[in-house]
Amino acid sequence: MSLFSMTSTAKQLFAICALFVVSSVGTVLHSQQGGTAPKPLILSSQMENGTLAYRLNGKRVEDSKGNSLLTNLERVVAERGTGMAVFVVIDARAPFTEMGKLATALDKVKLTQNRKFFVSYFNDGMMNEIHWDDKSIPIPRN
Amino acid sequence: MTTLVRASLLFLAVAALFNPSVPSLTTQVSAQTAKPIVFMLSKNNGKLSYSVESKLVKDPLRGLGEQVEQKGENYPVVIFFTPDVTFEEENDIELIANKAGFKNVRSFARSRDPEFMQELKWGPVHPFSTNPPAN
Repeated sequence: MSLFSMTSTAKQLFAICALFVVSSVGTVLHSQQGGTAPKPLILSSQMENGTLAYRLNGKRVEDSKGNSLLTNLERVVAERGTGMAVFVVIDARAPFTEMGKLATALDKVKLTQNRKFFVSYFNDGMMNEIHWDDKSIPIPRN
Repeated sequence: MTTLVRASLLFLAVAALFNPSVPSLTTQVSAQTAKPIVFMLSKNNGKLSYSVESKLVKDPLRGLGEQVEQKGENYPVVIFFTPDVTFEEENDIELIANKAGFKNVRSFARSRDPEFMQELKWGPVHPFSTNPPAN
């Protein structure tokens, strides 16, 4: 069953759980594995009241000049380095340009390895991974 | 096999051969190497617009339904979209193409360079996790 075909009731049912799981599962896994697996960085872009709200490990960012996404990413990289896994979760109602925007922000702080992009509605507890082909190909003109 | 059964089978075969709503065998075979059906998805002033084979359509299901009737379900379909469309809107078109009956659907987005495009592939759906399975 596709994420896009779930009923709104089901989506509401998972509403609170989804964000809780995203913010807490990493910590649980980390402690269960005896601290061996580094905690991934979770960057999300969620549609709220018609605009996109950005969160870095559950903390709201990009809501003021001093709390920019880039500043926060730089802080995380300074603390933890660039080796961690990065999971980017983007709202299904956001345009594809959003993905490029977040990828560029990660590129700027050298978080270029081990990153995955997911699309979600955030309120149904489900997410889809999306992949881009590595190579761009010319658009046929015939 | 009785004569009656043979005659019935022959009738059905001939009927299928001349029925315009059934894609012919040659169409199905040539679909493997055919030029794909191009479905364009873009936005004009914030409003979605669809075109099938360069022809604007209001209803994407109807537009693709006509194509599947003419060319068969194995005919390749390419969805070409601009990056200003949403993930939801693009995924809806893939679902509509599948609903129309097409079995070979690929999606491409125009890349930053307007002369190039990049293929998009959706992975499986899985629950929220910070340790998702490797694809």
